Amino acid sequence: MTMNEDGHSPANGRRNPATDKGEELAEEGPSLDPRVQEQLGRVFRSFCDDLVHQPIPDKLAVLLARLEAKQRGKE
Amino acid sequence: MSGDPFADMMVAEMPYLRAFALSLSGSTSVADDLVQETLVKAWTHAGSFEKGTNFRAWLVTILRNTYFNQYRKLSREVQDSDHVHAGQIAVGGEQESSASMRDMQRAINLLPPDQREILLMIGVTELSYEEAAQICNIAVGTVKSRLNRARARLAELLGLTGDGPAGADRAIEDRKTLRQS
Repeated sequence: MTMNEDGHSPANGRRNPATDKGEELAEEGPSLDPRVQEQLGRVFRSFCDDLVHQPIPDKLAVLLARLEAKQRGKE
Repeated sequence: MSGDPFADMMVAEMPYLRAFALSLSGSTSVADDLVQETLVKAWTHAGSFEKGTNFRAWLVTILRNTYFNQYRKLSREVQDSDHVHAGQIAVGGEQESSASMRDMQRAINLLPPDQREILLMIGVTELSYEEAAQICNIAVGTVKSRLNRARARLAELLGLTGDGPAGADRAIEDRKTLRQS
């Protein structure tokens, strides 16, 4: 999940429209044109996907191995 | 991978943690320092992780606090001088994709930090509104309003008009034309 069509995370999918609507209007301000939102969602999602799939530098794996070895030494 | 469950959990979360660090700081070198420091802190304070809660949210909390306490000023300086990590990111050799990533990162860098962190916690690390609210110690309504303001500002910075289904694709076409000329 990045941004859905409506920009809400699935984790927040269980909403009570009766109580949420007023709060949303009061706090969320004007919403984007749905077409702009759709466009932004698409570009942003692909940005996030690319970022998450970047290769992890070796030094981070090495650091983790070192932390683990130290832990084992203590035990 | 290693047999140590805690280490395995950290390995599994590493791509999300690094993606969050990259997009939050806008700098590869700052991001890697941030992730390293987060790993060390997480390891040192492993006992404070409450089983049954979201491990990624716990790591994001550490990284986010480290960033705002120590790195924010530094990463702005680095951003200014190295023109943002996105230019160095490998994106499957597709130049269009790389160009739009760069544009997106530039736009994200221009967001106020309080909006940027919310946008990235929800979008990159896929935390819930409730988790983001808890990490930043704000109300869920504030998360929503920051997210909306971030999206409106991004759309503006990227020049998205919603004009036809292919506005972003047209921008890519324009870039191709530019390169060919």
